[in-house]
Amino acid sequence: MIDPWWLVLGLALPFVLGACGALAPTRLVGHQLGWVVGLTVAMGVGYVARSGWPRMPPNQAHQWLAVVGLPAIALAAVLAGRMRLQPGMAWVVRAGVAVVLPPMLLQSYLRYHWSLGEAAAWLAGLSAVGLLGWWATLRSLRSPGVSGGEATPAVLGVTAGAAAMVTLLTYSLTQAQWSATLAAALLGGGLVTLAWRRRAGLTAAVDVGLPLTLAMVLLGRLYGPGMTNLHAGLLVAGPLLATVAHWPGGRWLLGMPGWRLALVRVAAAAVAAGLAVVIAAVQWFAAR
Amino acid sequence: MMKTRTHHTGIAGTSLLAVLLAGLTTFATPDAASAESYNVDPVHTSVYFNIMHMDIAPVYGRFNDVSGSYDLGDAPAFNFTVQATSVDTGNEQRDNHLRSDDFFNAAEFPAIRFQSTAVEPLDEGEGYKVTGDMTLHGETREIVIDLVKTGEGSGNGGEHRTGFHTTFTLNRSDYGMDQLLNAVGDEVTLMIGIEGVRQ
Repeated sequence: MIDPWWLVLGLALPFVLGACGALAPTRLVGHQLGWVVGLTVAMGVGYVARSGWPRMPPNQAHQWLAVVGLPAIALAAVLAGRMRLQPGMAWVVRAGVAVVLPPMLLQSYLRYHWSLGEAAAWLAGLSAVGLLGWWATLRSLRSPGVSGGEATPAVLGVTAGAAAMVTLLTYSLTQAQWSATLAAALLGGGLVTLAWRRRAGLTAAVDVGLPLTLAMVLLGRLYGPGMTNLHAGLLVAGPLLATVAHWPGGRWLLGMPGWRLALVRVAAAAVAAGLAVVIAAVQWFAAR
Repeated sequence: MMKTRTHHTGIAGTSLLAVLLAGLTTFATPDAASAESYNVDPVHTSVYFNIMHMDIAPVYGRFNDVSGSYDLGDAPAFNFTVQATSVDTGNEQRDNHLRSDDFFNAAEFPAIRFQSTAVEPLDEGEGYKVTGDMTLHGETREIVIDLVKTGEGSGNGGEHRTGFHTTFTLNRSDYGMDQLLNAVGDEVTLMIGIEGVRQ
């Protein structure tokens, strides 16, 4: 069922590209470009390896994400990175992504399945959750000293990997394999980041990795017939839980050594993501 | 005719006359233009398909939600719609997989449609050679099917019914359903029995 070439182009190569992106010398490519190029190219290669060249013009959500969404997210990440001294403007760019991405991926639901009120509620809710997660994740990077913020790419990678598992168990190999590509790229970069304690470009990693991870969960929920709101909710909760040290009751965690806090952050995301996978697995076995 | 009269009757009279004429038109239409119009009876209409599993054995399935209409009058025409989400192969997990974006992508493309563009009598036997646009998975292709008439008569309520049968094949990859071709064959054979009730 799984093409051996995909294991190379859809998993191994994205892992290497993610790692290279994280290790790219910032003096040559700037703080953002390594991560942006690494993740974007990895996702593009992984998509073509799995689904071939996308149809033009696109007529499926994953094609829209590959053709329009992915370059738009990359461009927005570069723009936001260049606006570091104008954080308000950077957030305008991020808000643009959060507002534009959901309707792009939900075209068929807007056309066939939802009333105007439902569509407005869903789009507003998804954009709000996306922006909230984005804000919370970026905020967790800005801690004094070594805060475990280096764990963020790994947190997103764990979430994307769990999304791949859940999507696979809920009957969409297309989405599962593309989520796995994202997971491989994020974990490639994430492991390098943790091992080398590199903090350069982490904002860019979030600006590309977070919307893509949320988009993968959204695609799995809407176009994989078996993924429920519970699965999707747990997956989305992962990156939010990983910011636990910045919650009012969790600030004591900031006093931990960096590596230990990094572990806590990855573990918090892994608990939610793992629960989603376990539930999907139980349901899958029960249905057999 | 209506315009001429409205010119003389004022606004209130116009509305009343329009309503009356509309009513007359409604009553007159079935006898005049739609006498040979049929609605598909979903209870007695079946859409079955088979497809090879790994070049080993054919797997059979059906669609449970079928609708449509056809006209056998002076300008015959056929329109059928199948809901992709109603696919049923007798295995819930497989059906869910078929509904996903690996196959039908039923959330994005809920309807499978056939709309005739040209209809001519069959060379042999009773029925029609129907050329039409088949829309599946968001892609529209022209296909030609032989719709063989299988019978006609009165139903239990005295309504007039006609029946047709057709079998044809298509390649799912022609419609962009090109995933997992190594596991599930490309060529799909459809076997369709249609019963319609005259309106």
